[in-house]
Amino acid sequence: MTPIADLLEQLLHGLTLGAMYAMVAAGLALMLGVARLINFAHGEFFMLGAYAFWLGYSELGLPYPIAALLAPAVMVIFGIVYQHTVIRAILPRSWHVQLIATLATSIVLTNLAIIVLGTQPKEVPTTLSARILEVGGFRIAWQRLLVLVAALVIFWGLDRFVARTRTGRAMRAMSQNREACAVVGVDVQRVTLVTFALSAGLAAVAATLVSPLFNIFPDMGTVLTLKAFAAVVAGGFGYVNGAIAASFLIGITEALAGSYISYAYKDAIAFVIMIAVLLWRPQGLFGRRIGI
Amino acid sequence: MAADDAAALLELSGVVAGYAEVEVLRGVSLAVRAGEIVCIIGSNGAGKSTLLRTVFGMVQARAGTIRFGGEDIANRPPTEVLKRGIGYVPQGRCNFPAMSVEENLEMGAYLRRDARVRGDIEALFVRFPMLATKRRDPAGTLSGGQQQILEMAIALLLHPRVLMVDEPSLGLDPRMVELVFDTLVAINREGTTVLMVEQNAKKALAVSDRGLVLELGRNRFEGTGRELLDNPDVRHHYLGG
Repeated sequence: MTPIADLLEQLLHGLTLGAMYAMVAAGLALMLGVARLINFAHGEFFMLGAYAFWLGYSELGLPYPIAALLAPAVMVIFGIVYQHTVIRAILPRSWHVQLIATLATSIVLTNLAIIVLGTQPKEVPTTLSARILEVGGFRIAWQRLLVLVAALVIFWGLDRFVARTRTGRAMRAMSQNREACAVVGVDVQRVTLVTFALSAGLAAVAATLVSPLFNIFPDMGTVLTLKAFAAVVAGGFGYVNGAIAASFLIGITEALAGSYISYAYKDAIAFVIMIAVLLWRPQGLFGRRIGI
Repeated sequence: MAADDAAALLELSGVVAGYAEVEVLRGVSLAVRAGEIVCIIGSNGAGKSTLLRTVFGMVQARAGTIRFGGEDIANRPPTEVLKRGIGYVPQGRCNFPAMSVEENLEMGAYLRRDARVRGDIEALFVRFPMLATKRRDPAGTLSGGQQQILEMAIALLLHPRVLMVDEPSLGLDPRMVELVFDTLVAINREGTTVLMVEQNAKKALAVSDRGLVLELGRNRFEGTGRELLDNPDVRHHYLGG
């Protein structure tokens, strides 16, 4: 393989990683903007989405498109239940309570997954993950192309949703001024609910897209939450498009560093980027923004 | 006329309300008749803002009654109070700073789904030319006075029967203060009853039909704007001599 083809391949790997981080980080940023809360169980939404996909695709033998739609649907319901049980109870409380409650949810979900599903990683290869596109010495799995195309469509749709729809606007409004929301009659509870359902669904979509490329295991969510959090901080604390951009930066750097420097350090990259951004621009990559 | 005047549109009677352990309102009574401008004055901590927040359902009323158009609205959620026809412009900045002026007005019509919203927004731009020239600008980039006008315009989109305004002149330069009061008077002339809280008592009483002086959560003085302006006690304690 030529050095150029190798570089391109690593860049594409980085883009798919970035797309995965971005779908998780976007949800984290949405929840932070709308509910002023950092959901440390967000990586577990991804993990549960991945297992839901594995169950549908590998165990029940459903076709890929159906299993890939079913898992997000299940996680949307999970997001609604989570909002009704955990989030509603902790929203009026201090950030300490919120931190401990979401972290506890993360630990409980991870350990439930270990008890029910075991620690043995699951593999979910699909037809697309096995099929390779080869152009002039440059090779990429079709599944990775699917991840990239799907991610672009999803981010475009999310942007339109937040900018144009009534609920999307209410989400932006809540992230900018909660008292003003009460004054114009925004149903704050309902908008929070939609935000959690949407964020959980996004994490599950990411899971169904990348699960055919990686292993699924119970504590895969923990590192993912932290990396997504690093992207949210670097992107401007709650600014969704900033978190998405920072996620791609992290994904690409991680792939390049894993290939050219050392694979052992790849998980540190997200935090090195976060710290570097905070030193260089404490307000985040895109400046201090108000709201999502 | 006299018979109409007697029927209060918004009536508070013996309202007790507060936050957690602190009782702020200790039995406040107030009657606002349709078409009036009523002003509440008093020193810091007298309970002026709490009174408005209690009517709007943001603070729990522990005792007393709040009636609007003859119906009990005490402890109704804000959205219901809003739908019944009470608009509220809180103290301090109450808009969406990263949204354009136009989007802010659209948020003002959040509860409306009728086709006349567009026309109402355009009418507000005609009425407030300073907002029209800034319609695409983020609300956060407007001056304090412009934001205050915007916030009143936001509240007008639901065509409230009563508009409650908390400290509309706070932090504004004198020219903008005039404009804000003129605007409130104009809104009132068009048929909206106005209930305002103001630190700038002289100016507020001058444009008000009636005033209420609150002291430590209780009624202290009541009267027409003129009566309060002429009352030596009120002058001494609340109007700076």
